[in-house]
Amino acid sequence: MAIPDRIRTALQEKANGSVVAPAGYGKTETIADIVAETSCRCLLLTHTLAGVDALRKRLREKGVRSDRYQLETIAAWSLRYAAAYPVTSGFPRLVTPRGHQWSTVYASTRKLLDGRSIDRVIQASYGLVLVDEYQDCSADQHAVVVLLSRLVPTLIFGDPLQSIFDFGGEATVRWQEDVLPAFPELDELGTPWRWKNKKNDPLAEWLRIVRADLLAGKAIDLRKAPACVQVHHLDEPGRLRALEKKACGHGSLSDANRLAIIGSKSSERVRAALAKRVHAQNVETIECKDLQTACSTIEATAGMDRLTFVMGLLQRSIVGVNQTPFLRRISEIHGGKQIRKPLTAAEAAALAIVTSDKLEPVIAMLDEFRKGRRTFRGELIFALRESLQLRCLPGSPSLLECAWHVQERRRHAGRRHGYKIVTSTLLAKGLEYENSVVFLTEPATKEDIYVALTRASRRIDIVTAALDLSAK
Amino acid sequence: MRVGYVEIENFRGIKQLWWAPAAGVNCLIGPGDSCKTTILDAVELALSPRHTLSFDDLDFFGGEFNKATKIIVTLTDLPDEFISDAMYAPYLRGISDDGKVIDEPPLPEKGQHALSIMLSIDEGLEGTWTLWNERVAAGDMKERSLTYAHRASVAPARLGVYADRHLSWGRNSTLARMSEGAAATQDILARAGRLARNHFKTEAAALFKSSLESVKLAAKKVGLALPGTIAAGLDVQNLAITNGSVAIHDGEVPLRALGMGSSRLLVAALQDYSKASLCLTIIDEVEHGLEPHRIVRLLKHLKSKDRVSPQVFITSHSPIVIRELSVHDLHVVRRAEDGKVTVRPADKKYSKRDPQAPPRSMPEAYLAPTVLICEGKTEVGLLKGLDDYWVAQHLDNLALKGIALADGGGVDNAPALAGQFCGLGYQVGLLLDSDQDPADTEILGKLEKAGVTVFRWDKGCSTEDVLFHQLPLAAVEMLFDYTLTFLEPTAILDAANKPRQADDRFTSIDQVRARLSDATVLDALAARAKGKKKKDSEDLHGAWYKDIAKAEHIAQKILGPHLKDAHKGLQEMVSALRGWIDGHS
Repeated sequence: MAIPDRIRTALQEKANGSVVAPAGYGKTETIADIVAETSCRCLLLTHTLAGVDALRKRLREKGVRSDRYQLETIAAWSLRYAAAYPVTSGFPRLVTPRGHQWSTVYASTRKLLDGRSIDRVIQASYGLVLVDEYQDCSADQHAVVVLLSRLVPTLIFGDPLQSIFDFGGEATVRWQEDVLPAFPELDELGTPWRWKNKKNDPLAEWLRIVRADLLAGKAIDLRKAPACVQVHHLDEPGRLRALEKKACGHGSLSDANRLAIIGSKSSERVRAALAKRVHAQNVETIECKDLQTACSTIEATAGMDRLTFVMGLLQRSIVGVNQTPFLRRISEIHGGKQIRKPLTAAEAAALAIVTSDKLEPVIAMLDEFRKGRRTFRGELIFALRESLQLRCLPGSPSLLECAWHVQERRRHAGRRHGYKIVTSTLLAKGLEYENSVVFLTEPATKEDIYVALTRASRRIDIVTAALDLSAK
Repeated sequence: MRVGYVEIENFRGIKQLWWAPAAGVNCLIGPGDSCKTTILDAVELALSPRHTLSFDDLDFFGGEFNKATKIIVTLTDLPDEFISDAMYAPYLRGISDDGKVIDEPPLPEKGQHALSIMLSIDEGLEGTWTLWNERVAAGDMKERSLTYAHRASVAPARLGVYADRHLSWGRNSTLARMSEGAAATQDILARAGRLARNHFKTEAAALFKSSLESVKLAAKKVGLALPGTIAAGLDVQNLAITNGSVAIHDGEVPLRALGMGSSRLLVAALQDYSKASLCLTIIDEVEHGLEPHRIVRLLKHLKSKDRVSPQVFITSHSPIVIRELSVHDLHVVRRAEDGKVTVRPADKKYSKRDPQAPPRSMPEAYLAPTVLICEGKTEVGLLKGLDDYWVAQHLDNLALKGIALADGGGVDNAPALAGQFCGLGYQVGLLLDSDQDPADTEILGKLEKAGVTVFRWDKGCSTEDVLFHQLPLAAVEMLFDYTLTFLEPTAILDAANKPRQADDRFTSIDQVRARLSDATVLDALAARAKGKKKKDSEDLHGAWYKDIAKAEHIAQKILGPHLKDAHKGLQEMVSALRGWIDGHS
């Protein structure tokens, strides 16, 4: 694949600019090609660690030596520079910033770059800056990139139609108002590689029309979908469970033939319940609110209350856990009732939770209930177990704090999921699967619809209430 | 690249030192034991490419090994490669335009990027080399050091007193570096070894022929048939051509047998040619083994702009070096008793005077710890004479006390010169006569406040007045007789007669001599001895004793021996001066 001419010209002219890259149109490949072809050292910035990994993998495949580029998230880069020159940047000593502290990081990085004292450092370090997934930039991050573009030629890649941000999260940069004035549009990538490589041109062509319709504000006519798109029309609300079962009932899934079920964007619990029903693994969000709740509740309670909470969590995460009879038996034994059947290991652990303040019995409970059962919220249970173990070490911080460290480590180590997963547009953006199930039964934005429909390269099952689909 | 700042703590004789070397040549001058060479050693160690050096207790200040040694060398004029965040960007510091180190890079218009390398030695006697700044010190950043390749590029090229080593292909020698890297040298040596063995086999066959025959015979007796091809050869293992065994030769003579000066010159040239250092050249005792004209040549070479490493640190004890270099190249090193060492640029101005003049006219003064600045040649001569006289009296001489004499060049210039030397950290004495005060009426007070000891004759007395009026008659007669040895009698007669009425004039020189107890006669002689006015000018000329040799003779033979019978004022002044001299060690 060659670098498109207009991008090549911009590189030669050392111009700043933007490249619109529809989903699956070989954006990562193009970026890797640019790095491979230029002679200077490049700064590659993106948003997520997954994005970093994907780019690194692609660069390695192309045989680009790692000293030819610096690849990291915008957050990590900003933190590194703000912390390297704390007097100039005014950065307070934060080793690992959280939440709102990130705005301090970006403010410090902006102050540092604005001060011009490290202009030469930037120019000595990089000959070209490339930023991926630009539609996900916050206004703060955009300001940092604009300051960089003043010193080094900068190309940004993104797709305004894939701009999805967390409910309650920070707003992303506005394409028309903020991005285009700083980075004039150079080109739009034109080849749908994701489907071309899978010899699925009909899907590629249909998605091109979907994109055009969404951008134009027109309804999508699902009747014109190609054969690889199964439309399950929800003509009466009572059939939802049946259609859900039908849509998600793929046979012969494997690591090379995965299925991503794109569920509710806003509720972890709703997605978890779906995972339980359709026998899939639930993908947890990075901050995982359920883990945070579990940690603070376990540490705040004791005795029967703690046990009750743990049992509820197990029932919501593992198939075949029934908390009511179990809790009844434990409270009877605890009350002094003579028992004929000997205690099971799980019961012993549960009694230890009730009678002691220790956390080790909680770990034992998790282990006992996982035996022989299918855990559909594996990520949650494993992260909780690891946090509990960390908390049991001498001198450890609170359980919530331990969980934060565990999540940080998992984030950096990269996450692996099964071949049948329940996810959301927010969690799945930028990722590619062979098959997908998309629920369009509730109103969705054009960005959510586009991201959901562009995840699969082979086959899509759409469960929809309307055959003429409009974005909200 | 160049060294922009040096900080030393608890290293050998140095308790503490801060120094901002200039770009170009930095010649460290100062009295012995002022730790000049220690400064060079410290810089070389901190920038050493080898991080396996070991140290001993004597490397610590005062041998106190529990107080860690720290040497911080801050490099500036960095290449982009060092500044890039692929390398050392987070470790960058800055040097402001006024020579101060700041912890983070300054704005381009206010200074330069810099990197500090710290060598610290603790009581384990092992050195650690790290890139240092406040952020590393605070533990906010992990420690790291330069890569080996970069260490090699900042390592100074040092020309020691003995440079022979560099004239063979030894480890880290300049010649080895010129052979395009160590690997190439090894290859050349291996090939040289093979050559030597082959050559030996053909040429030495005859030498060993008879003993080889005996070997064959002996073998035959025990039934062992040796092949006919056995020959004497060099054993590869025992006789390897190693680093250092190949040297440049002129005919049969190794080039290191050149005179010391010549070999040092050659090595200096080779080091430049091989781009031995991109950063710094260090030369101890630059004048060592070189005749004056070759010193001048070497200095010119070091100052030439097209050298790869234009920054040079040298030490010198040679007035020729001081005279030949620009005053901007000179740095005066002084060590206080508590071990604090200061390095001051010699081009610091004092009261708007050209700082270049003193090193050209009195380079020797810069090499002593103490300078006694005399108003003019007469006073310099007097002091020299007195010194000779004191030596005869078994008192310590001025050289032993580390005191150099300098001609101050007049009543206005001498105090300024004293101020200049005082500002450079020298201990300074100033000897003025008292018939005229400096035009700058406040300068003497300022100098005394700054620590200069000022010696003056009794109020209103010139040196000539002192000689004629404050010595006993016998001494004045000796002075009179001595004056006659170099002046025409008529000149003295004229001088004595000048204020007299026509009817009262002397007619012979003997008449004058007989009247040497007469104050009017002495007044007349002293007045003329100071010199006479030119037409239309206040300047004096034709003074009798403004000559070092004459004044020296007077002091040694006349003033010294008669001091005990001299006027009280003169006695007091000379004993104060002697007391000051004895105050130095």
